[in-house]
Amino acid sequence: MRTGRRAVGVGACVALAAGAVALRLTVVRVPGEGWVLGWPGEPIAGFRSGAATTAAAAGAALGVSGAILQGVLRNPLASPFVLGVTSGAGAGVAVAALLAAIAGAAAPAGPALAWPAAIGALAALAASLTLARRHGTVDPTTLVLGGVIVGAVCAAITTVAEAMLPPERRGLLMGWMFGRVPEMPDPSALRACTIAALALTGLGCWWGRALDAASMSDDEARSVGVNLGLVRGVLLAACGIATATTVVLCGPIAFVGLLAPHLARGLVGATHRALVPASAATGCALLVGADALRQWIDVGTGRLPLGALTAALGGVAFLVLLRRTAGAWGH
Amino acid sequence: MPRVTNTIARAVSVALAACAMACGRVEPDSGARDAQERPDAPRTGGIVSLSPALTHTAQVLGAGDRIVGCTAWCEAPGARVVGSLEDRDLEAIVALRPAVVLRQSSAPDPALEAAVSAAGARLVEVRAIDRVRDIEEAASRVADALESTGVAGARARAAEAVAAFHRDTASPVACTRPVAFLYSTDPPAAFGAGTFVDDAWRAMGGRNAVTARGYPVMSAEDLVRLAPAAIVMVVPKAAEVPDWVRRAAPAVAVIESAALLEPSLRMLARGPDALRAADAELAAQGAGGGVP
Amino acid sequence: MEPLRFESPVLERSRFRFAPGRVSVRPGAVTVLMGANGSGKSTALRVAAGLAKPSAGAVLVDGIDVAKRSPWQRAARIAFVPQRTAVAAPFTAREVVALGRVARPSAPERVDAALHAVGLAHRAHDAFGTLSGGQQQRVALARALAQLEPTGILLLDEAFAAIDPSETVAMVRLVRSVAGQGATVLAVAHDLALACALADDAWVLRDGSTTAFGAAEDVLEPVRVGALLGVHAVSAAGAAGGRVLTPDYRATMPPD
Repeated sequence: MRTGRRAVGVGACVALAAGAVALRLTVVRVPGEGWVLGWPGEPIAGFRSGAATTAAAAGAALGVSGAILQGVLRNPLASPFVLGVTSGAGAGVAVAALLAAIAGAAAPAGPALAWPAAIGALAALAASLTLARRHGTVDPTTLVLGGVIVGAVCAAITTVAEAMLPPERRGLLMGWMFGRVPEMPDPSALRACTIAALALTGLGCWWGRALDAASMSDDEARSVGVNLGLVRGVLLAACGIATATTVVLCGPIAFVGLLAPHLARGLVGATHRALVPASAATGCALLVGADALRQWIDVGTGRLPLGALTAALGGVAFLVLLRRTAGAWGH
Repeated sequence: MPRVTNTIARAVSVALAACAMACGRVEPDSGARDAQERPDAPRTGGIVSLSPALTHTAQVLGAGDRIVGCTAWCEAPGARVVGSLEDRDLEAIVALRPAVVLRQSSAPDPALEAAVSAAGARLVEVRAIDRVRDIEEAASRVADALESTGVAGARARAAEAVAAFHRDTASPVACTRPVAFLYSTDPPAAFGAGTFVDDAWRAMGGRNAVTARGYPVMSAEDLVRLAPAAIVMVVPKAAEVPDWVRRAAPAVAVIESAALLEPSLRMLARGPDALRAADAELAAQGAGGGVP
Repeated sequence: MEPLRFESPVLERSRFRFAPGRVSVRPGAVTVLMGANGSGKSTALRVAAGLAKPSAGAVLVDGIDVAKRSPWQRAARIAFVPQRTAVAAPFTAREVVALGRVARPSAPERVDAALHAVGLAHRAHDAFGTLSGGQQQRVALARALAQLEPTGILLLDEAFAAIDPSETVAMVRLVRSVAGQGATVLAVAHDLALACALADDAWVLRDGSTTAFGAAEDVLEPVRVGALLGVHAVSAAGAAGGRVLTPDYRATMPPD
């Protein structure tokens, strides 16, 4: 793809993100009242901009993580979920809720969930990476398998902790498990996620050429000059940390990390120097868009969980993309 | 490498097994013991309840000392844990030799039915309990079962509890403008139309700001748009009121009551008082007064 | 200063010991590496490329142990084409060739020249995954050429296995011209005729040890080849002078 087209593609991704943010800020369907358009007054404007900022930061972080992971792991189905980080954060939160219930304390919510989620996420990441270490580097195939196993173990821990929770506390945990974009995000969580998104985008661009080369076999990548062990290790850890910040901020959100890079690739091509920032933009567009869509659906019994929307829409969109790009991946 | 993964796998299995055992909290001696092997053991005629709401209902009906089996979250001292809302230990239930088994679920459980009828006990199955009349109906069915197994006066107590509830809710509250009752603030979620809290509040002349049915999860924007005259947070344990909730309505109160979160006779007994206390709090903050 | 010298490197895997002894590969010529499967040909290339570390001895590139160099420094001198190339991203052919310049200064004209040299300039903007196996191998070769300095070291592991005979003519000419410009080329070849076409020098391995090393006309000669490779070779005169050897698969070799 020639440079001019690439620049247009990146512009298109940014425009998508901007459009999604504009929709989230100005179009809502109020249950019982119908469509409400335009910029609202306070405090609603504060809610909407809080939600838009949160979704933009988390979406960008997830999109970039997905793009880098698909490059490092040489797998178009790789996503932040595959590292087991999301499940680890969920397990941390579930265990924290359980300990609170046992101790008779109030159920942890909001900021109090940050530390358990972060610890769980990083522990799961460390476990996945350790399981996959081979010959001084992390082996991509083993990492996907290891991540799935770690994810399954964490899901088991979560289920057990949930089962031990009193019924009246379970609903709150279930709500967290579906993921949601908080309208009043915890400021430190939002800050961490934004910094992670920006830093990861920078790192991905800095090592963009190395990421391109990493799509070849290990031997070929090394022979063109990539320090594969270092690049893989640092990028995987960075993706894990960035994903952990999104889980702390929004809970576990599926599909954005998987889908955003594919959308971006369709617009800017596969070279990572353009793909990484484009994925940040498409990730932002996807999550903000899903949250906006959530505000348009009124089924009479409250708002749908965001995770259900991203999975349903993301799943369909992914199938369409898969059919169209089947030949180009060279396997 | 294989040695490390083996150790990890073993440690994980041990940890999961420990969790599973703690989860069930089934004592090691409640293994399979056939009734015929102990012909001299007396029939206990006790009650096993697989639902906290039904356990607490049975307690209000006077059968508290007869409860021999319950879930981990029932407040029934002396009873053994034999299951939960989703799962149950058939052998443990049968070993307790109950006269009545109480269950709350919308899905049938043929294995439990067979085991209960083989043990000669009576099974009371209640589907979803959402509204006050559901609670009343469940109470009357449980009372019938209790009476038939020797708990004298259960029906009378059921009738008295219902009558008391209607008495307690007869006089109107001060705050008759729309009030939202939240059971969660992150994400915001409320008791909507067709729930027991809604029924109780409206019986006392109040109005629910949330008109969607069930227990809807909302966005903060939705809640603020409802412009409730007051917001009441219902929590099992004392919790802080988030800033945005304080700003979302002119008056905010907190009800710390596990009973109000559960559709049982206990809720009918204690609910109105808790709601009135909240009403007084709201009135003190200036939310009193009618006129929608 | 010899560009590529094997100083008795030793590499041990289960049931296999690679120990070719001291071998110096000549610059400005194509050295063909031959031997049975499992004799250590790919290992020799990987050790030379710094992708496998010997437990004893070393491979010296420009007099310095290649295992002690950073990937960056190695990429500046050595270009490696493996047996099978796979690209797990939807790159175009040209983008794959450009990967050769990842650690080198950007030089789009070299990328285009390399793609043109392997005869695939017309497929430059097609997805790599849509090319045939032989075309993908040629793209891999172009990648190495885009990376390579004129006096660099080119390591080819069965690089022509899937290429049509008609295209192989052009590839042989290309590789020989690269060597002619001063590069040191070490190429593994299974095919005897191809080896004869490519080789200035020949190096034969068996069970990880060197059984022959020398000028092609000395080593690639029917009787010696029969002893070294265990196949009956028939000689014919090549169109451009020199000798073409072909295996006669119906002839049985006398026992050793």
